[in-house]
Amino acid sequence: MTRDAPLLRLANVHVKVGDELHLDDVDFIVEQGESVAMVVPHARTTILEVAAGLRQPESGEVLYRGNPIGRALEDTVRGPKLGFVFQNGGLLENTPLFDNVALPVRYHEAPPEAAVRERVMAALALVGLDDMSARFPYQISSGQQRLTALARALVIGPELVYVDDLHRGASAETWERFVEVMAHAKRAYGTAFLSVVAVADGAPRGIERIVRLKKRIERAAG
Amino acid sequence: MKELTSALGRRVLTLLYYVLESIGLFVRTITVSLALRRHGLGVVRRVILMQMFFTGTQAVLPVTIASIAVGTLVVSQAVQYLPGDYVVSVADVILVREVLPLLTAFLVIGRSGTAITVEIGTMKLEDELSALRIMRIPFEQFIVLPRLIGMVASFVLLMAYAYVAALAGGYHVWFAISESTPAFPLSVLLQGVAMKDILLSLLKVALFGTVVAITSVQHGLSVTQSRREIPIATSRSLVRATLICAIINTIVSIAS
Repeated sequence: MTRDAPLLRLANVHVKVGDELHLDDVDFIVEQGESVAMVVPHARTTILEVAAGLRQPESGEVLYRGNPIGRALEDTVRGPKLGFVFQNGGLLENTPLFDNVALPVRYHEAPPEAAVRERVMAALALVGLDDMSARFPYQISSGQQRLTALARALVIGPELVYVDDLHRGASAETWERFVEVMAHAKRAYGTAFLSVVAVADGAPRGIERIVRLKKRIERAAG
Repeated sequence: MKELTSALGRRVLTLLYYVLESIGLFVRTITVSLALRRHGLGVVRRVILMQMFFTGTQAVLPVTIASIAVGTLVVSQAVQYLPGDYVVSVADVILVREVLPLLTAFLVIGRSGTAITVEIGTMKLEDELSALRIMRIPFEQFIVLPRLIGMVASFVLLMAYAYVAALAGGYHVWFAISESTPAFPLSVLLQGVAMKDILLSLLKVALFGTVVAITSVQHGLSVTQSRREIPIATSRSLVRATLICAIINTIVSIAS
């Protein structure tokens, strides 16, 4: 890993869905501690998954501190601390919220169970779900599932968290909670956030920079 | 004729590709799991125990019923139509070496193998597998290895249990139904089974457990876009696992 390199760089990335080119020449960086939103008319989840190394771009590369992110994710020892809030949360369905949030801590650090409990309950309290730690994902709302996914991302003190469809399933209360938690994570861990929103949503609160992505042909047409 | 040859060729290539993918998944699971660090052991161990519990406990009742039924059938036919000396040999060869391993496999495939395919397919669609990747938790360690170990261990334990259930259960049920006096004690039946045949049957079920785990996971992974793919993947998984276990059974029996 190169410490001088930007936290995340998408370099000339082309994104296809099936046989259709949705985005081309995607080129931007995310620095440590920044909150960036990609405003994308199509393939929002796809471009975010490409940026997270979960999907290969058609061409171009995604670099995490100067190294290909896909390879970085395979390093279970020294790999990056990342989080991802999927559209539907991405929680393990047959596992209580407590164990969902505890999973990355137990796997990578395995501290004593008392320490695990303390960190997990603190993360759940941050998102307002500490009284639901024994519930299963199917017993809570979709907004609460996304908040739990956010808690799971933050419990390890991540460098970068991806948020898919930032406003999805968010009541006013959930959205307020999201903004507060993002601000807390930035102060506490220097966490950067990369999210994706639809064109119509405009510039969300808590986001410092907007990156508008279009196909080259659409950009030329103005 | 040309079209038929072409279609057959495609089928063979598809089958070959499937076999290579399966072997690849098995090898990756072993190599990635060898790199499992002490930290991750606790997490993976918990999943292994859960898988053993579910696979084992879900299959106990059907294995009990099927083993007693088959055991009663074999004992009754052997006692009625064969000289006394041959009853133990028939029980050994037919039940312990051939029928019980396959019977156990079919029941576990239907009960647990299909459940694994559905579970993995759903996990894929619901981004749970992607979430594991982002957390840098290898899928092979957290998903495949527990199911592989859980399946093999459950198969071996279920087979040992089926052996006792079939022989003891079949013996008692037949002689109770026929209201005849047993020509020999149960201990003769149980002790007459050759150790070599017991070990052979345990080898078979260990191989079956491996096949069922890998096949079930692989078909779950084949789900890519929609829930409608899940039942198709599940039925394919069931049929393929059943056929492969039947072929392995024949090969191992002939080779021994």
